[in-house]
Amino acid sequence: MQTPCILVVDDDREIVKAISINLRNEGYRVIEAYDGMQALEAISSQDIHLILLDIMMPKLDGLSATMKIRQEKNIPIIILSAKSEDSDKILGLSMGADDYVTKPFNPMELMARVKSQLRRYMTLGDVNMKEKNNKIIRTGRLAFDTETRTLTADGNPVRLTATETRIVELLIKNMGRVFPAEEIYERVWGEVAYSVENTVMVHIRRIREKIEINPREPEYLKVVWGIGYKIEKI
Amino acid sequence: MDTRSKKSKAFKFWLCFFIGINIVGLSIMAGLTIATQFYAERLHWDFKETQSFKDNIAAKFHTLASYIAHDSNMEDAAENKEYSDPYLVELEDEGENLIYYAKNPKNQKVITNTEIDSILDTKASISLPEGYDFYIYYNGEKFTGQKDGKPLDIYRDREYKNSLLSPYLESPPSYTEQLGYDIQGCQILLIVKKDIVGNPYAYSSLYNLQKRNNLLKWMIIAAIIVFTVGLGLLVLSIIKRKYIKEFEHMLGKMLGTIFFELKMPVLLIGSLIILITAQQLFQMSFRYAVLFAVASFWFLYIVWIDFGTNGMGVFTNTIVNALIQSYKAFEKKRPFQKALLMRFYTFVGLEILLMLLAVIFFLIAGAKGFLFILFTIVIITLAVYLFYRYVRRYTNTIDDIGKIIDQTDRIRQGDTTTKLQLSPDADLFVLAENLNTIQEGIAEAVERSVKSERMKVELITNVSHDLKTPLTSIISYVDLLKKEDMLPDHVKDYIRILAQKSERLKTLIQDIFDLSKAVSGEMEFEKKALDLGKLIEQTLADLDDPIAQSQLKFKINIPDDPVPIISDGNKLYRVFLNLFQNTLKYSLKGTRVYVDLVTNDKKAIVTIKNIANYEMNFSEEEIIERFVRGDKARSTEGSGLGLAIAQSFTRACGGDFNIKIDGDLFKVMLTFDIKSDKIIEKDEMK
Repeated sequence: MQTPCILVVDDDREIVKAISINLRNEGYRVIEAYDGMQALEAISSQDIHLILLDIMMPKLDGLSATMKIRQEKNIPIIILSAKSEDSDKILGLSMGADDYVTKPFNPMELMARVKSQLRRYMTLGDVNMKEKNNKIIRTGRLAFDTETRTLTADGNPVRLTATETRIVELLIKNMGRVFPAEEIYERVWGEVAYSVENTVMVHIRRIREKIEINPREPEYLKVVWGIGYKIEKI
Repeated sequence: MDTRSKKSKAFKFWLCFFIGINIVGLSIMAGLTIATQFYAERLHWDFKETQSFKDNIAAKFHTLASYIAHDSNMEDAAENKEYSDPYLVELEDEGENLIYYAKNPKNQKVITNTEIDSILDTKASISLPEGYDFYIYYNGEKFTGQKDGKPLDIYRDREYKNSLLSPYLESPPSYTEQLGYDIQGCQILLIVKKDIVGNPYAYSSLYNLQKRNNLLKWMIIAAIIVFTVGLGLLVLSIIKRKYIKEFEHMLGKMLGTIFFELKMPVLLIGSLIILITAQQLFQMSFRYAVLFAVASFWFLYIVWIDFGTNGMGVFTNTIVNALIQSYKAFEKKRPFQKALLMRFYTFVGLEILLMLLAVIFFLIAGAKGFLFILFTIVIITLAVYLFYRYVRRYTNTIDDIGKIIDQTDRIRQGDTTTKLQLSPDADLFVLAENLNTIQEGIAEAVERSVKSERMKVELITNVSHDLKTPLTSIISYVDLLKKEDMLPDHVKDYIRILAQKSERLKTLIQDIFDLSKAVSGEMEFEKKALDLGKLIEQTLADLDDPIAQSQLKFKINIPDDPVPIISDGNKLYRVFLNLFQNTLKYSLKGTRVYVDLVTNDKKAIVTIKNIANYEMNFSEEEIIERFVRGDKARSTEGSGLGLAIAQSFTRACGGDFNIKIDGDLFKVMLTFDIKSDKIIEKDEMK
């Protein structure tokens, strides 16, 4: 398998450099660009597998660049932006980006997200085509096999305890639906629920640490405050 | 063009109109009168065609005829022209205006004032002397005549037939019977001068008749001229009706100042006259009819202008109203409460006075009759009217109070555009105007503060973006440094500090950004129904580890039943997270922390109580509003904005946020509105 090539685009050269060092340390090839036009040129001339893209850039901003890229290519795009509002994130993702990371970011987290996107793009893309049965439930980077009752994240198996597996099974089979702690407890433990918020929460946190890239800002297993818990459909 | 000259112009044109109408009206009358007379007297442009001339000539012929037909005393008279027969004075007086000749072959009587015998030479025609253009001739059998060189048909002329000449026009036997004499065979000639002149020695009837005829002629001409002038003026005024309208408006305004009480009798009498005129028009003498018509026209015109300009104001501009108005003006100078009291007393006083008067007049009426009953009715009407005015004013004021209450309510709800319009006459007008001014002030202040808030948010958004970019580099390179293995230990320690502080800077920037958005109301909220108790439990569960590690005992008292509120769960989570983190940070070790959720019908109250691990040497306000943290040293982690964020988020979520400090006891109270289960169910259905 060829070395994945990553395009880093930001008008701040130092940031590009820092990201490049981290990516090279991980063994990737890196191409650097400092505005949207350069990014488009690089994409047309090189074989690129992932793009890290800033929004606020001269000449062509990140959102417009994303739209242009999406017209031709299916390369994963991770947006890097200082804009941290939910509305900014939604806008970026709806323009065709695959992930949205707010500045200032944790380099480790960024690397994890890069890896996740690359794995899905380069390997899982084919796997997805092969398995066409209904036994596998997918959301984003997660996949749950209902037959073997195993969970994978970016294709890597996640080691869950029996209780955790049951919680994940319940939530992922009813993806998007919010379950109160009592219902989760009654259906997973099979006992009458009384003051179970802590118990459920402890398990939820543990699962998060296993499946989320940044457990503090979960993308999949979410708390709906004041109501319950759910797994997000992505 | 200045207004004065415009006014005078308007008046001038209106005067044209006024004179024009009068002249046209009156000249029609005058013209018709003269014309009637003209017709009645068979007046004619040519004097010799008039009835009076023909009568005169006929009379003269008759004189001559009777003179010549009689036998007596003729010789003397004929011979002595100086002393003519009294009969002939009538003819002689005409002087040179008239030439007469009469001859009776039976008694050989000849009478004439001319020597020229030759005019009768031929039987066929008569040659008129120089300067004479009219003759009438009886040749013994027949009449002939000539005027202006044209023959006269005497037998067919109506005037001759009706005049003294009529008997002679018939055949002989019948007229001799009538007259008693016979002029058959006589020659009688009368010649009239072309230009009839006055006789200085005697009274010439022909001359005077002609004078009268001429006078009438000139009168007609003058009447026509005057009529034309009047018509011209009228036409001019119609062309310039713009000015007329202007003057009519001025006139109307002026009429408007006259009280109805004064107008009413004029109106009544005027209408009565018009009615009578209309009824009697054809029985009146013509000139009176026209005079009445013109007068009626002006009366109706004035009434029309008055009503056209003032409308119903004609009826309301009464002395009573004027008195009320002047009372109002007097009242306006007084303070509001005094004015109202004074009005009440004046009203009651007047009513009592009027009632007394009414009673007195009524009693007098018993003795003196009708007129006093009328007075009584007038006074009672006045009293009722006064009562009506007072009550109406009172109701209006009450209405206005209602409007002002509504308006204050609107202002309270933030409506800064709807203005309160009261009549400038109203009692509460000043209040309403003041309220409007206050409202404008509020609108201005709100606008200014909204603008400045928006600018602040923009500034903070930009600043936080500009701060985040370099911070990204710092964090990234610190991270790279951390990965260097070969560094000495003290350098690694420095790097650790850098990493820690850059992380803190990151939270600080995000917190400032969030806080400023929440405070300025720019933050987006996703409000939905949730269980407050559950939210607190979840938050506590989320903090399970730090709580377990702390040496604090959390006493949690949350009801088993759900506590439904409508709010943004993520924001409220942030609130409680901040509050619990504060508690963990600033509580005295070994003490208890109390978390209570209490509900009543409408409110859910959350209280968090803890014992501070430091001396709280600040007020409740300070701890939130300033950039303070529990201990003033600011050595620990966090932005110091935790409470401020908690407070602004709570308020933005529709809750109430209060802090109490009592010695070392630190107490936070949050209050939310409870929404009924039904609303939540509905929301969930959606």
